[in-house]
Order: sequence, then structure tokens, then C-alpha cells
Amino acid sequence: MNLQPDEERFILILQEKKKIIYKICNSYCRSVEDRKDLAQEIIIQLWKSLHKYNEQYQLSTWVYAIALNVAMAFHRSKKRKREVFAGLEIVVAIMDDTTEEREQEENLQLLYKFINELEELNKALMILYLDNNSYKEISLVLGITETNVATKINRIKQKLKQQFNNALKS
Amino acid sequence: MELQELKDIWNQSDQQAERQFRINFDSLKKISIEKAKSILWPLQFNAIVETLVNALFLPPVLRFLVGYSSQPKFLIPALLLALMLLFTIAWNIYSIVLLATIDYQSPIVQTQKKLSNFNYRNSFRQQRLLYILYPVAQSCFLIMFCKAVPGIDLYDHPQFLVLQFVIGFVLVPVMIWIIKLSPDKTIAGALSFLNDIKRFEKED
Repeated sequence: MNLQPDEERFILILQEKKKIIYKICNSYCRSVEDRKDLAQEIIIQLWKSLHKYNEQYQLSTWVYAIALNVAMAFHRSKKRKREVFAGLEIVVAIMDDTTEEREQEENLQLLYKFINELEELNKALMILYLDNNSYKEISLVLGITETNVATKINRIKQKLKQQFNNALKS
Repeated sequence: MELQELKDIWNQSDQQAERQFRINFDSLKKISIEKAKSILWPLQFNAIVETLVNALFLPPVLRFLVGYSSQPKFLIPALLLALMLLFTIAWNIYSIVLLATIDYQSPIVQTQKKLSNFNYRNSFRQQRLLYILYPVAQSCFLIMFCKAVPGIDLYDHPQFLVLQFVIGFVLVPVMIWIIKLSPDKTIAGALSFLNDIKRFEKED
């Protein structure tokens, strides 16, 4: 099948940035079904926004902004029914962890749990921070000042560290 | 646990993504993603249907309004009904445009504020304003309908009209009571999220 240049470019973007989508879906949704639905919604919105992509921004900044905005809208929407995605039913597959993987990645699951418990905007802030984005990039994606980003990150990371240490002790 | 360790744990997600997250690019190539509907589509669809239904009622109401413009007893109910219809149409057109132009690549605080404001106003209109206005609209509609279709002037039957108004106005506190009994979660959720956004924007 011959693909249009835009479609080829889109698939390349998805291949390159799918880890961002995966991490955001895991942080905002608990059930595998919800994660699949959210991933599909993010893919739809990425495609619909592709023609508006401003080259002066980094590709990952653009993906983060769209994926996080969609995740929050999805989280707050009462209408997150699967039929909405009828045509995209098999585009995304997120496998549930096997028991063995779960044991190996206990800490990661714990981190996801703590991130999941944060307020929605703080959650976005922490995902961006843990993914090594600069304060400037974070402020660009969120739309707040760099000083505000720094203050908030400092407070949340202390809280996360504390929660983690408590969990490890117990 | 140090911060770098948290980041290291977080980075394990990348390997997990490789193993667990598959995008079926073959199916993506075959289907038309253009036709996929967003989660906001049901809201847009409702707004389109509501606009069409209200637009259907507007011409006869306006015709009645012009025809009876010299008789205030008919002019006032027709005017009230026309204003309610126009308000609903205007709100729905605003909703359709807003939902169609939501730009997800804009900064998160800005986009979420826009969406939450919309959710709050839309739910407030649907769950509160319309319930409260319903009795008034019903009386206006009956006066107009009886005059326009069977040619009955309801003002010649004051008992019926008074009863109609009494029932209508008794319904207002009943509606408010019902609303208070089952508070709308969308309104509360949208308001609380707007407060979260305000707090988030504020520099500490």
C-alpha cells in the first residue's frame, strides 16, 4: 500500500514517541481497557493536529502537550465509551503485566501508583520532569512560568521520595 | 531513595513500553483515521441536534410574534419563547465552534481551563437553567399554541391560565429541590478542577 507523505511521517512519529504515549496512559488510567482507549484518543488527536505542527517546537514537546491535554480531557469525560473508536479498534494493544514482570518491576508499579495519586496537573508536571525535560520545556507545555515549575517540582519530588521511602520501609 | 533512583525507576517504563505497547501500524494504514471520532464528538452531536430542533421552532414563533405585535398579551409570551430559542441556538453554535477548535497542542493550563469552563457552563445550562425556565416556557408555548392552532384565546379561560401559571411556578422550587437532592457531578467536578488550575497557576 502506498502511503501519503503525511501518513508515513505520522507513523514515524508514533514509532519514535510511543514511549511517551505509553507512560502517560499508564499514569492517567488504571485499567488496561482505559489505557487502550486513551492511547487511541491520543493517536487520533496527534493525527488531527499534525498539519498544525509548529517546527520551532521540539517534536517531543508537541507530543507531550497533546497527549497530556487529551489524557486530562479523557479523564474528565464521562463519555469515554469504546464505540467512539469503532474504526480504530485494533490499532493499539497494551498488554497487562505478567506476574513475573510485575515482581521485577514492583518499584515501577509503586511509582506509577504514587504518580496516579497526584492531582492531575501535578501528575503532568511530574511525568515531564521524570522524563528529563528542561524547566523551559515543562513551562512551555504546561503554560506556567519556569519559577513556578521549579517550586512545584521541588515540593512534589520531596513528597514522592517520602512516599517511596515509607513504602520501602513497610 | 534519591531522586536519581526515582528517575531510573521511571526509565524502566521505556523497556516496558517496548515489550507491552504495540501499535498496529498495518491496521492504522488500512483504516481511515480521519473518520475516527473524538471523545468530544457526543457533545458536539448533541449541540448540533439541539440547534436543528430549536431552529425548526423559531420561524413559526417569529411569525406569531410579528402577527400579534400589537397585542401585548400574545407578544410577551412569544417574545419570551423566541428569546429562549435564540439563546439556546446561540449557545449551541458557540459550543460546536469551541469544541471543533479546541487546540490540544496549546499549553495544558490554557486548554484545560477552556474545556472546564465549557463543561461548567454547559452543565449549568442543561441541569439548572433549563429546568427552572421550563415552567415559564411551557405557559408561553400553551398561550401561543392555543391561539395559533385551534384559535383559542387562553386569556378567555382565566382559571385554566392561572392554574397553568400556578403549576408552573410551583414547579420552580420543586425543580430546585430536585437539583439540590441530586447535585450534578459535572458542575462540581468542573468547578473543582478550575480551582485546581487557579492554584496551579499561582506562584508560591
